[in-house]
Amino acid sequence: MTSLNARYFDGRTARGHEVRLRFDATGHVEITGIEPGLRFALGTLSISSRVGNTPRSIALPNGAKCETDDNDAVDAALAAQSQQRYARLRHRLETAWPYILALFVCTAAAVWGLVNYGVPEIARRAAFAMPVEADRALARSTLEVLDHRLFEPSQLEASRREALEARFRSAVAALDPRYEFRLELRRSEAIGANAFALPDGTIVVTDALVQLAENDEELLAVLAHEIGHVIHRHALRSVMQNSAVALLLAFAVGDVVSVTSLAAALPTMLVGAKFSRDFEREADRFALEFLRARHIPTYHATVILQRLEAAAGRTPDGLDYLSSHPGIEERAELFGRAP
Amino acid sequence: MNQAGESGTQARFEFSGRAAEYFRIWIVNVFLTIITLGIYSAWAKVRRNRYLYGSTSLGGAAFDYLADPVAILKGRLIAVGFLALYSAAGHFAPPLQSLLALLFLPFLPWIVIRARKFTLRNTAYRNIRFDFNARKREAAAVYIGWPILIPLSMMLLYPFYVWRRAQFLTARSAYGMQTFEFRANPGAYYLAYLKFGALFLLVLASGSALFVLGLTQTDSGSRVAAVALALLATFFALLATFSYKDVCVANLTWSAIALNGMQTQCTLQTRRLYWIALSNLFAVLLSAGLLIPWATIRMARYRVSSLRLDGAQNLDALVGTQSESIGAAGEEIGEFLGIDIGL
Repeated sequence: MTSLNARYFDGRTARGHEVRLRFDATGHVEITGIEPGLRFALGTLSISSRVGNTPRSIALPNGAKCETDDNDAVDAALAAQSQQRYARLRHRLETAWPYILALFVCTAAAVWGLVNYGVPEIARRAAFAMPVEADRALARSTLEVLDHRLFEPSQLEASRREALEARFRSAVAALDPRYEFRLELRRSEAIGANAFALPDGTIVVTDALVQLAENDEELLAVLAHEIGHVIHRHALRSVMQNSAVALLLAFAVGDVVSVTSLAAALPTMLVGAKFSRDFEREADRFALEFLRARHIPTYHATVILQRLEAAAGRTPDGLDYLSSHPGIEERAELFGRAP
Repeated sequence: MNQAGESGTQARFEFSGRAAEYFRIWIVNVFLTIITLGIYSAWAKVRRNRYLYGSTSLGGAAFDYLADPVAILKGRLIAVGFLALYSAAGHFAPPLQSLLALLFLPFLPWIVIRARKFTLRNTAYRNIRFDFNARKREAAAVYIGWPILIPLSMMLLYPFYVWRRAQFLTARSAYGMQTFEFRANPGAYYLAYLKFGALFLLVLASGSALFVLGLTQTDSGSRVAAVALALLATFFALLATFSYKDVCVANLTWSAIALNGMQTQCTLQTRRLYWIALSNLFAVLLSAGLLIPWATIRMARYRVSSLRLDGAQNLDALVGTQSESIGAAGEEIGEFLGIDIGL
């Protein structure tokens, strides 16, 4: 038998009454302190689950509510009738520091697993389940916008351009026929020696990069990396992964928003950079296979990457974790060094 | 706790939440949300709000958060579905995105009303629920009409709009059978924004002066240091200026809510709020998020404890009413799109 003090609110006015609740062994509760006294079966009450030491509310069948600070007494009464097993379990989870410590470790592990394997795997499956038209829609009119804002027509000699395009066409001939791989040469002061892929299979290469390369094999190594981005559908996957992480973060620590949005943006950016590095690695592995299948020595990739890095100026050490590309050392390891 | 004043009894809002206790509830929430891929977040929101509401008391009785997690989950699914559609349209078919935004506009008043109604209906005090009853036409005027007029008036109408929005949200709210009154006038908001504007210009001017002074340093090392210092000082001064404005508006709004001869009084101080917000930010960043619960509790304690109710002897006379349940879609969509619905 348990008893406790509570404030009784009838729901018709805001006036409260001090009452005493007595839980008896027959599964009934008796309320005294108001006229007339009340008696209900425990099963007809709706008792809120425990949240920390905030007051509990006990809703009565007559529309009234009892509010009490005596959480332990309520729990004892419920335990005697074996009610709210899960809620009491959760409260125990929320109270004991050893559980909390274990949970903290589990949370860290779950976040790590989700960011490293869960989200990328789900995004990969979802992307490959979508038709290639999705990638094409993603790239629609992108090149036109870039031509308007960033690019000028290529100033390479026509014969050089045609030779490059012919080399490119024969190299991509055996690839997935659903993509229409096209080589687009452009001149740009702003982005210098550079190459990138649009998700529909358009590969843009700047004049400066063509001039930086000492032979076609080096250029093909760069093109192979860009084709890897297309074949592995990185644009679509990156959109999905980044939104999934941002959403999950917003859900998991909803409080952050009230503290400041900066605290929420930073981890999203860090995770985004990590995803980006993973995609670069995948594109590198594709390039490796691509070059090997065409009997092109893979060290050409290392050579052009090193030259690109020298042209762009060195990035400071220690910032690798923030960078969107893997370090040059790691990539040289993969492609091998020039003999 | 209660003191007799000239206008009758004063009752302070009190906050009894503790960071160590809330941390444990929070970490369980985060864990369950992550392993259920976000599904549990609806239950987590209810537990979080139950803790924060339950830790807030007035005149010896606590507030109660009664929302049904399943309603919140449904609302979240609708909100996420809409956002996914909207952002997918942005990536794949930009014209469709503009069309979606246009189609969405007529629903905005509905969302505002439903969001506020959901929050207030699920807030109870002394076994009586709050409520919100507004016409869509008025919500449309406040949330669509005014925002169109403001740029046309070169922002001169902005303080009036802030007042109008607070008035709409307060005066259409109810506690049981009683309707709230909003007792502020637009003039006070204009004065607050005038002070803010003057302060803002002063900070910008002195910031630029410091910047120029930094540029005139002859030594290149001290030039970089001086310029960086000027930028940093300006940044924190601007942050303080915005805190000042937020505190002024919050004090005006929260001191104007009247019910049955009672009125709230809000006495936030810029200095303290700025300090709490800034130290919270650094604590959260440096602890990789672990101090989020501490920051939440600290901020809630300060905000709640700066609020009091004058004329509290009238509390007991307030009358309740019956009410039915309501869906959460409006609130969740509003929350996701960052529509400013709360006071």
